[in-house]
Amino acid sequence: MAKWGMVIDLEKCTGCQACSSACQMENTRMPGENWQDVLFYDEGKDLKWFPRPCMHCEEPSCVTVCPTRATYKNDDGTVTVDWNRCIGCKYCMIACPYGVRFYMDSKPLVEPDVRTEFPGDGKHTWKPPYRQPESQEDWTHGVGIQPAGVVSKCTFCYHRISQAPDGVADLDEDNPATKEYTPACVRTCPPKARYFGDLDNPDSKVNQLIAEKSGTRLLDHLGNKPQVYYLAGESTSIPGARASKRGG
Amino acid sequence: MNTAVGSKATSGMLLPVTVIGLLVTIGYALSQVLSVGHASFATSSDGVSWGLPVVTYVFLSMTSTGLALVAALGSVFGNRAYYPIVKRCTWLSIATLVGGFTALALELGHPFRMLWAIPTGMQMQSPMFWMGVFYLIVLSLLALKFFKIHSGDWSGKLLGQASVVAEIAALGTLGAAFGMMAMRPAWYGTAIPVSFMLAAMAAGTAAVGFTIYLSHGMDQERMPTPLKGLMQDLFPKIFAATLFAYLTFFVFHNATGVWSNAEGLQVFEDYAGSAFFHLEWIGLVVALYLMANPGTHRQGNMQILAAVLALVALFIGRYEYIVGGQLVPLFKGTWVPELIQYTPSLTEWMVTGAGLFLALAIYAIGDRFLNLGDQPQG
Ligand code: SF4
Ligand code: SF4
Repeated sequence: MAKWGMVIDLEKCTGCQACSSACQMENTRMPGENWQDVLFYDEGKDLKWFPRPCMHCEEPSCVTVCPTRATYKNDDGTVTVDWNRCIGCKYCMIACPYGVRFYMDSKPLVEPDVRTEFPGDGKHTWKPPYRQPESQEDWTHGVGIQPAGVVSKCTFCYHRISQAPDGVADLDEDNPATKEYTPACVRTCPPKARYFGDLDNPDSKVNQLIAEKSGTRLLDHLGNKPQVYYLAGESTSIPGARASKRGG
Repeated sequence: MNTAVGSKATSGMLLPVTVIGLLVTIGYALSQVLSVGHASFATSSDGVSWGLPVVTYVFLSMTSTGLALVAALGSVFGNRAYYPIVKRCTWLSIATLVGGFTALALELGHPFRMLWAIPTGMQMQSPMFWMGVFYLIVLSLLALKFFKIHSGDWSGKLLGQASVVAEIAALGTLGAAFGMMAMRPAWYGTAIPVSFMLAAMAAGTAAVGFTIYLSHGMDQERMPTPLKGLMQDLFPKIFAATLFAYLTFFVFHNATGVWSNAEGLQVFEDYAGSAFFHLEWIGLVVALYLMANPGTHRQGNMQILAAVLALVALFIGRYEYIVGGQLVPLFKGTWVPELIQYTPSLTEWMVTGAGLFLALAIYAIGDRFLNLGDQPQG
């Protein structure tokens, strides 16, 4: 079984948010519910940016706090939420150091509230005019439009990657054999700043990049051991404790 | 044996007042939660996840533990001077715990799913799992203990000892649920469960003091002699000692937070400038003064004032710790404010009211029908 991981090359990333939009469309997220986000922050006199999906941590604190095992780690290394088990206690949102989780049943992050504009059918919280095919819906892995009162987060596009043929080292949008199994954000990224592959396979592109270009994990001191690695190169940097400005 | 003259009159009013309060608050909260959902709360995904209802839950369960531990001073450690309040403390401990659980249930996305999802999940790494286990044990033992006392059987030291251990385990785990969160620096700390214990003892003492007065027309003279003796002697001593212990923690906790430059602790400075902080420390200091000063510590009015001040200050303290620990945003971009703004919504206040009124209404029922002033014969 693969252990999926992602590499994001910050020198290539242009902060265009194509990944965030692709994720929104692919996973039918509500406005503001950015499973994948690009954070902007000041550094020196410059505006910098920093793409941030769920880190699918090796030691995920969200999993260890969840009292019901609604949040759990799959054999392929991804961390997903079972919407049939989640009780909406939000402990996982407290415990995730990266702030990547969303509670369905709270104030809208962006007005107008799409849940009142496109009211749900009782089963789903809203009924958007566009949506991912219903056949893809998989509540045990937090894929689809969620019911009320549960927490959601990036699944690494579990509905895609879980269909990938066994033994592939990388899921690459340029390879016709793996294109359809590649996460939406990776597939869409115009400058190809994102790579997705098997961290357990020494021959994978992701492992090669991590080794050659000093792949670094965000907030590594917290011990969550993300499976998302950043390449900062010489012209960019990985923001420190948090990407908000200090002092002032 | 019954409580003294006059107690019926006050508790006679207490029950209808608390039931009306409960109906209004829970009615409003439920109607909002069922129609608008938790969008009627001020909590949100880019800010505070646990708001005022969680503060209420923690405050009430902490008070419940404090009450049970005060009761244990009599029933387990055999200090006969405490006997007049053992039954009352035990009942009030049940009442506050039920009030706390209710506030929590109104906060959860799927409160009923919890009943099967937690036992079948068996996630033993989660502090919340153990909190559930220990509080379930605590509630069962409290109910058993009350039932025994109510039927006139004051023996059962083992039961008392078991409940003390369970109480400490439950409250300690509740503290650890916050204290273990290293990613939330303003919460993190190995001594946090102990600080919860100190706060609990002060809150439990204040709560039993206040309700004793409620049940006796706010007047010491209406209390039976053994109870009056307790209020004149041991009560202020133990109250002052618990307040002093908690204040010591409070001073060093806040001084450390303000002094430190560490990322995430900026909230301490902000908080130290707020009006609530001043209300909190003044409340604690004045309550301690009133209970330590020989000129005031026996007076009924001063005891009532000290209890109210301490309860308000301890509630603010829970709010400050729980909400404050979430105000420094997690990993977000520059457009996110340095500190998140959070003001509880009306629905959240109503959830708080529902928890408090439910606890008081259950207490009033006990006071009216269950002879909470009972003592062992002979
Ligand atoms: S980034 Fe957060 S939500 Fe994702 S696996 Fe890690 S702790 Fe869990
Ligand atoms: S909100 Fe759901 S997924 Fe998160 S910790 Fe609670 S039960 Fe688990």
